[in-house]
Amino acid sequence: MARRSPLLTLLGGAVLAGGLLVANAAVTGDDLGSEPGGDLAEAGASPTAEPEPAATPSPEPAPEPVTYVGAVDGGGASVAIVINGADATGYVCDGVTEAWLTGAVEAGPRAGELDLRGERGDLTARLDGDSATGQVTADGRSWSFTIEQVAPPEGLYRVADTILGGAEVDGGWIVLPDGTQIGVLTVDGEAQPAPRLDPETGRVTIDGRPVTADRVG
Amino acid sequence: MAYQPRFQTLPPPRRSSWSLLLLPLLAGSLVAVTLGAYASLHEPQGVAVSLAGFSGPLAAKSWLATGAALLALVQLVSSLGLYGKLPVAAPASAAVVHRWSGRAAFLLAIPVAMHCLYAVGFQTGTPRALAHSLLGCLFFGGFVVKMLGLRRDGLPGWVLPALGGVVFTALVGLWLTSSLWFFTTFGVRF
Repeated sequence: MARRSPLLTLLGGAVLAGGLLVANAAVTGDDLGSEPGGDLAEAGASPTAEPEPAATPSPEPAPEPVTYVGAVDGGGASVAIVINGADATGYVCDGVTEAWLTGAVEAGPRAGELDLRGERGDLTARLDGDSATGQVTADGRSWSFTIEQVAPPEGLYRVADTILGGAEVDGGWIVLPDGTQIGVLTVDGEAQPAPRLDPETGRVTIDGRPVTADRVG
Repeated sequence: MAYQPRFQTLPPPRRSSWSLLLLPLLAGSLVAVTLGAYASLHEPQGVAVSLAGFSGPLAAKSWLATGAALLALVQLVSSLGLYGKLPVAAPASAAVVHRWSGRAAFLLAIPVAMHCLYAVGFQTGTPRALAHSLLGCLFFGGFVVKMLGLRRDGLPGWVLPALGGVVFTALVGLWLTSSLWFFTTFGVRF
């Protein structure tokens, strides 16, 4: 018995892999085959359950995140801050350079203050009800800002994925209350202005491939 | 009394040579090459079956791979125990723990790999994707060699630990090039 167990292990693995292959062929052939080039962020299906409709965006389980977006004072760049519980994510972008910043919301005597840091900059801000006021630095340039709380579809969007064809993409978008967008898309390490994102669905076309960006928060 | 590995109680081998490993190596190479060839030739579908309950297939894969990587650590510790390399004597259950944690890690890795194979394919676009693709082939090929090698009496004593080391290293490398990337890019989320 023990002599055979490694073989049984391999056999079990082969059976599982074969079953998944059959399930994959069935799923993509029947339900998802009409949508070639879907991105990896689209929901798949459990091995036993019906596949989810590919167009359904994955709901975020986060508890009531709050998003602030707006232009920096004087214009020229936009800032977004997403508060998710005690965690905060910041993003600043002028269409050419961008910086992602992370940190925590201060508690205690400095309650409501943010001190976010990232590879390319930092951000300090104070939350004041429906607005956030502060300073942000990216690639050595500094801006001050006062930005307002917004609701979807306005907000901050991000995509980071390996799309079909093998390109590695990383993009950020800020969707402002007036409907304008600002963003940067990095494809295989090269930054370029981000193509327009559909704020309702998060859909964006990169190199001819549809990709779904996630709303941060 | 410390646990004595089973193979020490077997009758003396007919011959002691690493050439006994030829067939397992052939089989493992076949598996690795087959996986790589399938991943390269199959048109990536972008989607594949995944686990429900996660925010997306990448999150599901990242957590399955994290489970496999944690079990790989159990593998490392239990094998060190089996070979008497721990400061404390390993309990008799170490062999059972080693066997079943290995099986569980292998089974967790399979849905992840099938999603990679079917939805993404063999990727060479970035060093991370290339390393991940190669490590994936190495892991499953190496695992086959290890499983088949277990059944060969008379292998030099270093062979199984070396094979285990290759499989462990490949799995940790796979985790670093996928789950860690996902968690550091998107944050730790389900």
